[in-house]
Amino acid sequence: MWKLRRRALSILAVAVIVSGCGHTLGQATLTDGNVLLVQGQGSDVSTQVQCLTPDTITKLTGSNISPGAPKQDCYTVVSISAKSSNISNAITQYVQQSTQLQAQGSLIASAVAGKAAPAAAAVSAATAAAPAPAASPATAGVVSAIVSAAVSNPANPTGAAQAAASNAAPRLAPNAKSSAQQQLQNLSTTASDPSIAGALRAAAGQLQ
Amino acid sequence: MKKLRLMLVFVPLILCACSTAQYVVESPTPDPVTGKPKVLQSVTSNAPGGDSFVIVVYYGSAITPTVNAGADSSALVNATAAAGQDALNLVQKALLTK
Repeated sequence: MWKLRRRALSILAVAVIVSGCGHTLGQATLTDGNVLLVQGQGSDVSTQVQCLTPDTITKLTGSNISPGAPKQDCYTVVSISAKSSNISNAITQYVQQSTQLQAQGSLIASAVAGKAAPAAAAVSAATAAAPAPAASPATAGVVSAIVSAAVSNPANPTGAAQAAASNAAPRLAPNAKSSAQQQLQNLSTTASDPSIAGALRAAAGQLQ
Repeated sequence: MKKLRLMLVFVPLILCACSTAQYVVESPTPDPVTGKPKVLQSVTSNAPGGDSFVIVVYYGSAITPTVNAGADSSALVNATAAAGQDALNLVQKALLTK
């Protein structure tokens, strides 16, 4: 009897451990189209993808960029938090605020330099589009994040914009989603860079 | 006694399985041989907690990503300050080069 109970316990423990390894708690689409999966046991996680400068990464993580990493202006960073935790909301707020801050910085820098850069124009329009009647702060943040992703990844603006859109989509209510799509479509008609315009249209499609 | 020994073995194992997570980078296109998504990178580290989060820095599919577990709200404060500083640097650079 004792042996049977022991065997049952062993099977249970192994089953718990094995199921813990295989369960996907959350995922994020990376800027190159690959997917980051978080697997384990526990509560579901939410993910936020950003492209951050090495300095910001050092501030955020307390450690430097991996020495073997190719030199880039910004690196893809995924912040992962338990969905039910308070810090999850704090991260969402941080991502929205810092993205808008960066966008405004780019805009002011372009204005100071006297250059009508397509990126700055797109970001400006995204910021201006924020208080549209049907838009919420979340919508404005998402549109701004998608535009910033597109303009900060000149090698693959479409992939970056689609990744940002696919990460944001689950957070948006249906009406906010259609508002964000409309704003992206409007922006795509004003962007002078065809690759940015195409990226914004693709991101709008991704939000459907 | 035997029960205690069993608990000593299994309880840490289960707890360990709960507090760690696997961070896996997969290609969206399935492997032509197996038909399953192709695993490009995989790192095991702590899972996010109630008041902490995990930061994964991705350098591309050929390099193992850095996983920083246990970041707390102070990291967000530092990063927000860094975003502000980056924005100021952009403006300053534009002013100096004009």
